[in-house]
Amino acid sequence: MSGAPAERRGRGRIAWGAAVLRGYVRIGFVRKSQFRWEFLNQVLMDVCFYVSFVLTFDILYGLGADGARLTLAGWDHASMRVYLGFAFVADALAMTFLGQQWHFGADLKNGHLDPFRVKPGPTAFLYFFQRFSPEGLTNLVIASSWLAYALWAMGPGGPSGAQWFLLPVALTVVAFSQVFLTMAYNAVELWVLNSDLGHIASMLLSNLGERPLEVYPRTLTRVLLFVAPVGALAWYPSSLLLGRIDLAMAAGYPLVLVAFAWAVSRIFRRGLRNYESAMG
Amino acid sequence: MTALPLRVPRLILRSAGYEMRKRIQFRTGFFVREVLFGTVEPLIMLFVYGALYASAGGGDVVLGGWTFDEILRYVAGLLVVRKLIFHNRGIELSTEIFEGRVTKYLVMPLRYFTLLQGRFLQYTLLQVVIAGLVWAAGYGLVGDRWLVPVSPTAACQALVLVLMGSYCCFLLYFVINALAFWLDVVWSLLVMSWFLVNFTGGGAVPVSQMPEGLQRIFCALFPYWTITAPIELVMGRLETADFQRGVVVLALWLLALECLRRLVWQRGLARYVGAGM
Repeated sequence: MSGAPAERRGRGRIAWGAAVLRGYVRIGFVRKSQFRWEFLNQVLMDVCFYVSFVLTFDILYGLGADGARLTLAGWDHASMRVYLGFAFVADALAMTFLGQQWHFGADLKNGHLDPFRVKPGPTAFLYFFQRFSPEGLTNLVIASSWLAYALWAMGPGGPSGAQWFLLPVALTVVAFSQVFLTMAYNAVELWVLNSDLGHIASMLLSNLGERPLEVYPRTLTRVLLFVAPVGALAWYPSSLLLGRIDLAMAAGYPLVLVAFAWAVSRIFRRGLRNYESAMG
Repeated sequence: MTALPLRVPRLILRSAGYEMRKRIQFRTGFFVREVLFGTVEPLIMLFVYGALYASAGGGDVVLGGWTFDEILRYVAGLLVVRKLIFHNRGIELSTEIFEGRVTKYLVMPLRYFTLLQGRFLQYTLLQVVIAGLVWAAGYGLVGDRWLVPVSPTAACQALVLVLMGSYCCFLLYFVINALAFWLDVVWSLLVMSWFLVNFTGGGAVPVSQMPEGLQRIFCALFPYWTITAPIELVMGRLETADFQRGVVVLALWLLALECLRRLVWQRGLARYVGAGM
């Protein structure tokens, strides 16, 4: 019986969060309808990003003389397309829902975080999700289409039943990790104000995660899996779907991500308490 | 009253000094933006190439006309060259147009573009020093495996090409910024332009390692002569005749971009009302 009010409260919080998200989506569409060219340009910008990646790997895999099949630390061309698919989806998810992250340092410096701190809800959720991007959503469709194509191109008949089952799990892991990685990058700014360190951490780690982790030295690979787990954005989901990891890693890695999310939340909350809103 | 031919260079120098002071004020941001910029992607590229060459058999295997040692030196060159190329966020004209702040420059007894040339000069002077330090640090770390110029002449020729190419980028970013007279927001175009400059210039893969068709197209564009060609000159893979061809191609691009800059600026000003958004 005692669980019922708590459950009702939980449902109430989820409904409230969903209502806030709906509001952000509506504002995003209204804002972007005022900048139609910008909408098109941002879609084109991300398409350029995707094309430059796809072309780069097409060129690299095409370097094998006399049709020799090159690999990147065991990733053949077809697997690499799946890997890139998850990297694109992760990037598009961040662009769609978490675009405000690029302004976190400046907003801290100018005291613009304060309105979110006094609102009745989690500050990080209200802040990072406020800038819903319809053009990001368009790119998410494009990125997902590439991922679907890559999975289909893996073999005759398209993805297997197991892959269909694992795909939503993999995508959930990508979305979950992207949110907490964003918080982790920006938490740095709470201590080193106006340093651009959050931005640089995001650029550095995202870039590293967009290539198969096996190409890096073993220590760096471990860091990218367990300390700053950008491996969750493309490496883990593609390895899971392609059967490149054993059962222990497949089942255990999400627990690592949950522990990471918990630690990041604590650090972020502590940073917020230390933040003095000095207005630059 | 100082004569106009003397006033412009003095103004450029004064503006360069002002920009330099402004930059140095942001110490951590300064380090992050100026020193780390352009180093991450080439280093990642090196790891990717390492894995690729290992799968092809390692050692002295040649892929697309390049050995791994040559790729290593190319990446070293990339680290230095990218420091010298004008940054796509180096001009804030689009924001000033968007907020209606261009008006203040229109009433000044000087050309707005002259101030930006001062910024270009400041950027170049600072980045030449930083690029030199990066080169020296790399040489100190890995010695002869690092990119060492085949001759002082090749190094000078490469520097000329990179700086001409950097000025092309500067003009290109000015033109894109000035499109804000029509489009209001242009940051996505700036990012897109950097993707294109980087890819067509050889920032991801050396242009001479790309398929023939792409090589033929990219050799006619200024990014190739700004990134891949200078590095290959320093490595001794290209010669003085190639340098001369590069100077001609870049001069033509400079001319075309300067004409475009004037056209876009004049047309844009004609429709500018100074109200901002």
